Parts: sequence; C-alpha cells; structure tokens
Amino acid sequence: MNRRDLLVTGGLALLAGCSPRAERRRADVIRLWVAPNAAEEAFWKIAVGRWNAAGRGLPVRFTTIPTAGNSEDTVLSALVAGTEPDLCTNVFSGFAVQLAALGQVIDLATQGGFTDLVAHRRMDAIMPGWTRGGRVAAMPIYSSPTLIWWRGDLLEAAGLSAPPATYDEVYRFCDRYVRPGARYGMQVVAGRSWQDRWFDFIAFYYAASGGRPYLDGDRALYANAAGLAAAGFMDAMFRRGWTALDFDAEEPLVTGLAAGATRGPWDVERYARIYPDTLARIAVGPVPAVQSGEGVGPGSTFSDSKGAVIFRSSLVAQQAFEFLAWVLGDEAMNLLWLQRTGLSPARGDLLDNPRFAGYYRTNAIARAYAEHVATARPPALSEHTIDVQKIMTSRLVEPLMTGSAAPAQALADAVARTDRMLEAQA
Amino acid sequence: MRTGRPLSREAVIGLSLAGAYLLFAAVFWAYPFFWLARLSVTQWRFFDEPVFTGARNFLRTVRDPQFLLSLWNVVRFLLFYLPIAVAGALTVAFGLRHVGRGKAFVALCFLLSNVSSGVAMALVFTKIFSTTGPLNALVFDWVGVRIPWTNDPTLAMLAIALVVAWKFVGYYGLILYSGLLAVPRDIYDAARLDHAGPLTRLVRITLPLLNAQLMMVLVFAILVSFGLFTEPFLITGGGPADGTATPQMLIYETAFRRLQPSHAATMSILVSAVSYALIAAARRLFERKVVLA
Amino acid sequence: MTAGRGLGGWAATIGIYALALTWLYPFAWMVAASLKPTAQVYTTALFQGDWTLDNFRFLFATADTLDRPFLQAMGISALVTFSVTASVLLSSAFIAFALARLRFPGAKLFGDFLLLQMVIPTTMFILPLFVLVKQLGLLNSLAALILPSLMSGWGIYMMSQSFKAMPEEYFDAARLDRAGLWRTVTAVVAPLNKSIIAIVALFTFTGTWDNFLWPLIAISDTDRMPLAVLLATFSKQYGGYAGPVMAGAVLQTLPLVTLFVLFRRQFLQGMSLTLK
Repeated sequence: MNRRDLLVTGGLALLAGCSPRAERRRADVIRLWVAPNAAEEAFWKIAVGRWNAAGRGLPVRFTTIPTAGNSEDTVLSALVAGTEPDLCTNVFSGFAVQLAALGQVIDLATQGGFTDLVAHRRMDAIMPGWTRGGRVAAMPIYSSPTLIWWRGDLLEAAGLSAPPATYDEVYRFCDRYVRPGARYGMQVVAGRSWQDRWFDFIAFYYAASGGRPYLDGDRALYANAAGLAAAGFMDAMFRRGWTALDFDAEEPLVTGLAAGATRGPWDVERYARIYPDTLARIAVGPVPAVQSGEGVGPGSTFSDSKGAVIFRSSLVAQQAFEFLAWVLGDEAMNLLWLQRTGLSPARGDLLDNPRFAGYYRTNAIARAYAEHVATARPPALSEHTIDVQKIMTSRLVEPLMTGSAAPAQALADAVARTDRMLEAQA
Repeated sequence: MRTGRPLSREAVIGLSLAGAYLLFAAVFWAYPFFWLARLSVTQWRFFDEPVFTGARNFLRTVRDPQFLLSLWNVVRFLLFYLPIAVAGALTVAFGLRHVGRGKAFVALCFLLSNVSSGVAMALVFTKIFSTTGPLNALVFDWVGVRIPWTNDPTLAMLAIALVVAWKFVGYYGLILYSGLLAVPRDIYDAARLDHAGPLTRLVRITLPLLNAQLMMVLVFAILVSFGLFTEPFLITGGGPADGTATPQMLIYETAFRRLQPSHAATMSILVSAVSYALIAAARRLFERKVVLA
Repeated sequence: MTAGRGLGGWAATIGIYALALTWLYPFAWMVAASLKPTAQVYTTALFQGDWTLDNFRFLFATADTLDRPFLQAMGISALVTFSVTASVLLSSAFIAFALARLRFPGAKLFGDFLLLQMVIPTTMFILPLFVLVKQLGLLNSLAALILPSLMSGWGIYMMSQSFKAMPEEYFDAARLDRAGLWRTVTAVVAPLNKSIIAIVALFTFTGTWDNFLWPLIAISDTDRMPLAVLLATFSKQYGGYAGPVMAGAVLQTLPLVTLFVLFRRQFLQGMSLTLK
C-alpha cells in the first residue's frame, strides 16, 4: 500500500506542476520576440538590459522567435495558440499587411509619439513603403540593401579593378575566371525557399527596372522588359555553366568556388568569426543591371527591411511603443545596432548624421550598404507574399535553373499563375 | 444485462479498468475524431466562429493542385522507398540467417537506426547530403561529380527515401527474418534435386513463402509514407518546387500558415481514406495465402 | 542458401558484417563532427582533425548568453518521457491484464475497439487535438505534452497478447494466495513478461523523447520546449555552425542509444515475440 500511495502522490504532484501559466496576458511586463539570428540577439540583449536597468518604463523580457521553419509560421501559430508576445520584430512589410488584414496588430500611426519618431529619424521617404490606407502596421527597424560580395583578389587577377556592375562585365569576368565544375563566376540563385527570391530575382528586377514595382495589389507586373532582362541574365549564367545549382553548406567565397555571391551585412560578423582572412579580401559591388549607372549614382536594388508590430491582444501597447520609440530613436542605440548587426537602420540621415560618421569611416562594407539605402526598394506590399514568391520559385527560377523553359515563357507562366492565385484569394 | 445475477468482483475490476481506458479514449480520441468531422464541414479561420458549409471543403480539397501534388509525392516516395527498403530488408534477413554467432550484433547494428532520434538524424543527414558533405566527397572521388541532392526534386525525394530506408531496414529485416525461420529446409533440398538455381529458388520458393511478412512490410511502408513529416520538414523543407511536400507537411502548413484549419481537417480525412484504399488495393493485389502442402 | 563453407560463405559473412558497420556510419559521423571545430567538419576525414569539446561548450554557453536553455530542455524531455513511459507501462499492464485474463461483459468488444484504434493513423488527430488542448487552456504547458499520451492502446494490445499466452497455473497459485489485483500484476505477470514490457517501454520512450510535430505546435516558449524542438530551432538559427548542431544531435540521441545498448537482450527477445 505504501508504494501505491507514493505513486499517487507523485502523480498528483506531477499534474499540479503541469498547470499552464495562470495569466496569459500580463500587464506588468513587455514581452518581445526578436529575429532568430545571433547578431540581432546580441544587440537586443544589450538594449533590453539598458532599458531595464534605467527603469525607463515597464520591464522588457525578450526571446528569439522560436522557429524550426519559417518565423512567420511560428508567429502565426503563436497567434492561433494565444501565446503571442506583445511586441514582435523581424516582420517584413507583406507579413505586416497580412497580420493587419487578420486584425491582429494595432495601427502604429495612432500611438502617441509616432509622428515625433518619424520626424526625428527622417523616415518620410521610407514610410510610404510601409503605409497602406493611412494605417501603419509595422514600424521599420532597418533597411538593408542587397549587394553582391566579390573576392577582390580574384577580380584583380582576372583584370577587373572594381566589382562588375553590368551584365556584360559579369559575362566577361566569368569568361576569364570559370573552370567548369571547379570554379564558378557568381552565385546567382540565393536558395530554394520563397524568401530567397528577395535576394536574387527581385533584386535583379529592381536593378533592371530602376526600382519599379513587380506586384501591384492583384496583378503581377514583372513580365516586362526589366523582368526579361533579369530572367535572361539568370538564364545565361546557367546555360553557359558560369554558376552552379547549389552552393549549399560551404562558403563559396572562402574557397573561390564562386567569386561573387549575395551576402548581407549580417554575414560580416559570421565571416569575422569563422573566415577572417576572406573578409579582408571582400569588395562589395552593386547588383548587376543592364546598363551601369554611369554618373547617375547607385543603382536600384532590393531592400531587405524588417519592422516591429504590436499585437492587438497586448495589454501594454502604449508602453511597448514607447520602448520601441526609444530603441529606434536614440542615436546611441542606432549606433549600437550598426555595430552589432551592420544593418542600416531605417533612417534617412545615415550618411549625414555626425553620430554615425566615425563608424562609417572605419567600415567600408557598411558604408557601401548605407550608400544604397536611398535607392533600395522594399518588397511589394501584399498579404500573399509567400504564395507570390513560391510561384516565382517554382515557375520562374527553377525552370531557369534547369533550362526547362525559356526566360520569356517562364515569366509569362509565372505571371499568369500569380494573377490567377491572387484572383482566387481575393 | 442479465437480471438477477450481480457482477462478479472480477467483472467489476475488469469493467473499471476497461472503462478507465475508454474514458481516456473518449476525451483524447473520440472527441478529436468528431471535431475533425465537424471541422471538415465548416469554414473556420481560428479567429472567427465556425460556419457550416457542407461538402464544399471536400470539393475544394479534391481539386486543390497542391494537395494532389502531395499525394503524388507519396507515390513517388514509395517508388523509391519500396525497392530500396525491401531489397535491404531481404539482404539483412538472409544475412542474419547466414551468420552463425554474430546474429545479435548484426541485428543490433541495423536496429540502432530505428531506435535513435528522428530529429537528430534528420539534421545529421542534412549535413551528410550537402554538396560539400562526406557523401558528395566520396562520390566526387569516385566519379568526379557532386550530386545536388537538395536542389533537384527527384534527387531530393531519393535522398528522403534513402534516409527513411536507413531507418527502417533493420526493423523490416527482422520481420522477414522471422518469416525465413519458418521456411523448412527440405523444400530447398527438393528444389536442388530439381536443378533449381539460386535465383529460381529465391523467386519461386522463398519469396512466396514470405508473403505474409512481405505484406506486413508493405503495409508498414505505406503507413510510413503517408505519415512522413520530420525528415522532409528538416532536410528539404518541402523540397525544390514542393517536390518533397508530403501530405502531413501540407496539413501543417495549411492549418498554421494559411490559417485554414477546416481545409486542413478535410485533407486529414482524405489522406487517411487514400492510405486505406492503397493498403486495401495492395492486399488485394499481392496477398496470397500460401500453404505448405 | 545454406550457411556455405568455402569462399562464397566467407564473402557473404564479411559482406553482412561490413554492411552492418556501414549502417553505423551516420552515428560515427555525428559524434566525430560534434568533437571537431566547425571549420574542419567538412574538410577532414572521419577520424582526422583536432579534437575539442568547444562545440558542447558553445551549446551550453548559448544557454546563458542567448537564452537557449539546453539543459532545461533536456530536463523537460526527460520529465515528460519518464512520466509518459511510467504511465503507459502501468496503465497498459493493468488494463491488458483485465483484457487478457479477467472475464467481464464486453471484453471482446473492447479488444476489437483497440484494434480499430490502432488501425486509424494518429497523424489525423494532430489538428483537432490542438483545438481540444487549446480549449482546455493547456497549450504551452507540460500537460499538453503528457496528458494526451497517458495511455496507449497499442501498449495495451501488445501486452494483452503476451499475457494471454500465460498458463493458468500461475493465476491459480495467485488466487490461492488471495493476491489482490496489484500483487497479481506486479508480482506474477510482470516478471514473466519482461520482454514485451521492455518493448513497450522502449518504443514509448523513443516515441515520446523524439516527438516533434506535436510539441512544435503545442509549445511556443523556448523555456518549455523539449529537446527535439529546441534542437530544431537552434539548427534553424545556427545552421552554419555545424559543430554545435551536431553536438546537440548527440545529446538528443544519447539517451536512446544508451537505453538500447543496456536493454538489447530484452529488446531482441521482445521483437521476435511481437513478430509472431
């Protein structure tokens, strides 16, 4: 009998310990989710630490978005489960619009301190890309243009003094550098999932079209001359064997497997930690476009920008916004952000503001990114971003990779499907 | 219930224990079962109230190209998986029969893969199959090419089939081995008297006698293929152009990314129905009652 | 194909041993990669390269600096797995005993119901189970991981098949001793069915320890995640750091392999029983 009592007690104790959190929504702490990458995590740890230590408002507790797949899926399933936080970063504009359509986020334009923040950061040129119908679902945190990293030493050995800026220059370099099967000119396709389209086709499209949109509400627009140029470039690179299908686990820039690849400012920290020698030899160049912008200034490219949303279920919305305004507005915080992540804060005065001058003087790579912020375009404002880009992947980019369709045909097919899908969803 | 005769103490105990389980099953099995049925005839988006819509979900699902693609992916998986797994299992079974004293060691080596963590091994195989991983290094040394496992839909499916086969060959091999043990030796002696070569002996005698075990392996394989989630999710993420998107992954995505649980529920039901039909068809086609005269 | 002496037989023996060892390769690679620095994981052969425990240190360091509580996740996994396994063993043993050896009305129906349950795939129930657990307010808690698995129809069925085969004499002796239910099961039935109990225990343990899809959707806080899901999120974020990810994989696999090696004899015996 003794053993049984013990078992029963143990079982009851276990069940008691299984009780869920009593209160789901708390009004005495701000819960924050941040992007699941090491550099941003490090920044937020410091930012939150300073906020909490100075007692500027409600205490903040943060964690990275606990995702095993896409962070968007994880946020959505947290919403469904009712376990979402108060404030969430790493939200791109299309996802913000989707959340707003579901009625799950508040309109930040109505928060106290919003207009001051926009004025202080000089975000007038940036905000239109995030505003729909006068409502702002997400506050942009950073705006990071897409640029191509080249191995400066390999370029020099092939006779180029600066990274190639037009398709012809890229072709000429590949002609000289490529050894079939052993060395490739450039990594053209950034990856297999829908997010990677931002860093290949969409970037090439923006560069070729001078920043004109590829999607508008319920119509795909990219089956035009610019789209054809971009698709044609990708097709040519694959057909002539100047790029490979997959540069998966290893770093091609380190071994010279590819001389150029799309890398972001977040890679600076990773390279500094694991491949410091390669980092010293990197030269950053623009996304190739049909013509170079001779004398015109930096060409257009895609801007990888993410922002923060505040969920409707939050009981501390205004306090959360105050925290956000402090992190985004305070120049010391912006400088810290720059130092930790290398991503350009979504400010219009990066190169003018004396607080950042010292940083840009000593960081050539970051400076290159800052120079392109003005001409970089964010993703199209659509709730169906994922579906649109999945069609782009399977109907446009993959056929181009394998050569199973000509560029014009693949473009037409992708655009037709996208239009049909948007119609069905509307 | 018979009047007049009270239940014996034994019957009371039996009923209470069975009843405990039935209560548990009612909460965690029957209730979800009915919820599933209810979801499939309503329209719900998690944040609103369910609305009754009748059979519309079924009509929509049956015509959904992504859903049909995921079912076709199961077929493609089986086309790779069955030959590899059955061939491997036969090798293991015959090997076990052949080996004298090392049986336990051999069996344990093959079974370890079955008992270890699917999540961890999926991550390990992602690294092993990568372009610069050890497998490609080996292939490069032999043949001079690197295989882009995760970039081609067919190769990606083959990679998944290989990983799952690695996991189950030991288990299937044991099943076939237990069947092999039941085959009497004198049949082979009679066959040899008839000048039957080893291949004939295999195909005409051994395999038919293993029919019950082979059917068991086939049914398990079909069940595994419809329930596949962890490996494609972690290794290929649905694969190039949805080439390795399995029904389970699609259900997860439909429920939690597109926020369409009704659609997902309908898919669940249809997937189960299809797997049933496939198993029934397989049994009809391949199951034979083999009796030793 | 009898066990041939001569060259063919020897070749076959060597062949099967070689194949068996090849099956262990992924484990060997995993362990080797976890003990090498990341930069050398792909560039060195299996047993070459420098040996270092840095990957494990990184794993546990991220727990402090970056809120990835691996030790806690292991603890949660262990707690959940042990609870579920203990509960399933206990409940299955008693209910299987009732089904196999007690006479009560509806026993046959109950057995048929179990068979029916086993035939319907459980993957169908993930979504409505999620809705149910949400309604109960148990999402994001340990209860969500433990409660739905407290009893297992499969376990009951397996054990009942084994208990049915026991000779009646044991129970006559037990009845003479006026043994109650508890004593009968624990002192008479359990010791004689060690193999099947080992099988049910091992498969329940493995299934719960490695459960991925259900905890993925039921738990969204990193400090409540079991190890399998935490490892997957870690791999998503730190995928480029191959060494630490493999170290995590080693942690995830280690308990299962250890159990397997410790109880291999019972496992093999039980497997041959289940296949009859």
